[in-house]
Formats: sequence, structure tokens, C-alpha cells
Amino acid sequence: MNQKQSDALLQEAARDVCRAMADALPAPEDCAHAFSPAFDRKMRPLLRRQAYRPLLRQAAAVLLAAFVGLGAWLLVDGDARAAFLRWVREVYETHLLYRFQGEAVEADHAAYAPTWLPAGYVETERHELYSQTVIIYENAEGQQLSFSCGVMQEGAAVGVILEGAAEEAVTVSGLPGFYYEDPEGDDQSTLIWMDESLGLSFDLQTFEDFSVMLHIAESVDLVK
Amino acid sequence: MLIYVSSIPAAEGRAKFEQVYRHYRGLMYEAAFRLLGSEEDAEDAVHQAFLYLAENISKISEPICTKTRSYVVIIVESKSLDMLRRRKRRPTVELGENTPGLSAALPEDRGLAAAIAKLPGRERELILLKYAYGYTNSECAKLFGLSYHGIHSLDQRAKNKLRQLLQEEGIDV
Repeated sequence: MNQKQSDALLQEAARDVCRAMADALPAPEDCAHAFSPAFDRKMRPLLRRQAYRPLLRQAAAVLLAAFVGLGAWLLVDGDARAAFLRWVREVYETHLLYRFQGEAVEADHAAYAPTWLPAGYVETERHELYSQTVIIYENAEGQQLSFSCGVMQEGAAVGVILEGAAEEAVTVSGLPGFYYEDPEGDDQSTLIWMDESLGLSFDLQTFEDFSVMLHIAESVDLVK
Repeated sequence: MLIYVSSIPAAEGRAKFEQVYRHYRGLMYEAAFRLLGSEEDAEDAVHQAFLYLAENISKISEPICTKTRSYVVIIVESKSLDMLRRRKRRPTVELGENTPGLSAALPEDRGLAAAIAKLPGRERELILLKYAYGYTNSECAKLFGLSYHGIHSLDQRAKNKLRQLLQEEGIDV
């Protein structure tokens, strides 16, 4: 069976499951819930676009005023800039989220990449997104290794899915990081590290062992 | 202060959104309540789902149809599972089972569909969004709040689990 046939089977099966999920619920017309006034209040601006435009403009003006003064201070004091960036680690049952807060610094996330890789890995995909660059490498055995560099800015986040993974605090070229390993060895290990002075977060996922991952991570440098 | 960053781009999109909202909000509440068990949380999940739908209204071609009905159920399930995970937040990393989603019982002889239905909530959502609704990995990553290769890892795990479930049923993969 080729990929196209396999995808067609998956599509048909997925549609069956979607129908089954909806059929397990009452018909829409039979779902009569009296929504609370609080819910209606939250939905009102979403249903009437014009109602929240003035709020957006007002909010933007307040935020801009707050950052103008702060921005000048941050430009002249490099230590203050580094201290202002904060990242928060949120732990959930099945995953971790590294959520970044604070003003973004200008950093080119597409300019960084590993300068050393184990023999046999070649770059097969590159995705330059708005605030993140992801590079996928693959070897002849089909083993993948992915590297990502992202800008630490308000609202950005990096997620790590856990399934019994062990966590270890590590350093990568003196920078703080965390290493996650699947004890069963079925899933890739993940290494995440942050460079607050550059305003960048990095992460690496591969089946290679920790010493190899660390070597790759410590080889990350400006390539553009 | 809550700021809506995106808006429904055009009059046609707004009309479509309002139709979806009026027709499906009760159904979405029912789905969310089955997972969350709390009226307040279920309404929050429905609100979060509509925030997402407002930004992605182009994903819906026909407001009132079975395909859209299933789609809004999947989206509200996703937001409900997010809330369930936030509820179970722990200060340290713990072992835990993947949170199951809404019931979707299928006869065993449905093979692949039955196996997909048995996947844990997040893995199942990924498979359904990708294969029933044509979502890309990037779009799924945005919905789930994951990085690009976080979603890549989830995709791999979902397919591995599916393969395992099919092998357990004696279905050749």
C-alpha cells in the first residue's frame, strides 16, 4: 500500500470517528442550556466587532506609553535588558510549557544552527516561522534530529510533551537548560536551553544519547 | 484587561460565525460539560472554542452540516482538555495517563476507525484534524500551543500508538 492509499484510509476512518463523536451527543436543537449572563457578556464583543475596536486602541495606547520609558532604559543597560526577560516553566500532567514574558529583543532566530552533527545527518527541512526557525535533519537510517531556535518574547512558548520522561537540569555552554529522556527509549529525548542575553531559546530533539546531544547543542553558533 | 487580537475579517465571515454560534453553542456546552463536569468551566471552554473559531472561521465552509457539527465538537473538546490539564497542574513532573477525550464508540470490526477512536484525547484530535479536516502540523501546533517539533513528536507518537492498537487487534499494518 502506498502513502496515498494509506492517507485515503486514514481520512475515511477519521471522518467515521468524527461522526461517531458527534452522534454520541444530542442533536444541536436538543441541547438547551441557558448560558450565564457572564458568558453572554464575554461573547458580546466577539459577535459585534465594532464594540471592541475602541478598547483595542485604548489598550494599545496604554501599553505603548508604558514601554516608551522602559524601552529607553533597556537600550542603555544591557544587564537590565537581560534581567527583564523572564521565562516561566508551567508544569502540566502530560506536558511542560516554557512561556516567555517581557519585551522581545531583536534577534535573528534564523541565523543560528548546529555547526556539528553526528556523521550521516543531512538537513531535510527548514521552516522559518514568524518567531522561530525549525531545522529537521535525517540520516540514512531514517532517524530524525530536529533543532529549533525561537525568539523569547511575550506570549511565545515552547512545549515539551512528557510521557514518564525524566527531567534533569543541565548547562549548555554555561547557559541554563533542561534535558528530558524517555526511560523506555521509544521516544526522542529533548534538550532545551535559554540564552537570555541574546533573547533566544533553543531546543533539540533526537534519539542520540545525552553526550551527543550536548555536543550538538554546544556547537550551535551564528551561521549567517 | 482582555484584548481580542484577531477579528472576524469580513461580513460574510461574521454571518457565518454567528450562525455557528447560534446553532452549536448548546451542543458545544454539552460536550464540554461531559468532560469538565462544571457549568462554569464548560462555559469557559465554549468561550475559548469560539475565540478560536472566530480566528479560523475560514475552516468552515458550510455552517450547518454534519462536518461542521463534528468540527466544533473537536475544537471544544480540545479546549476542555486544555482546561483539564491546567486543573491537574503539579509543581513537579509526574507520571500520568493521557487524558481521554469524548466518547466515540465504534464496533471493533471498524478496524482503523475503532483504533483511532481509542487513542488518548490529544493524539486522537491530531489525527482527526489532520485527516478529516486537512489541518497542517503548524495549524495543530497553534491550536494545541505546542512548538513545531512538539507537534511533530505528537504526530509520531499518535501513529506509533495507532500501529500498536491495530497490531493488538490482529490487523495487518
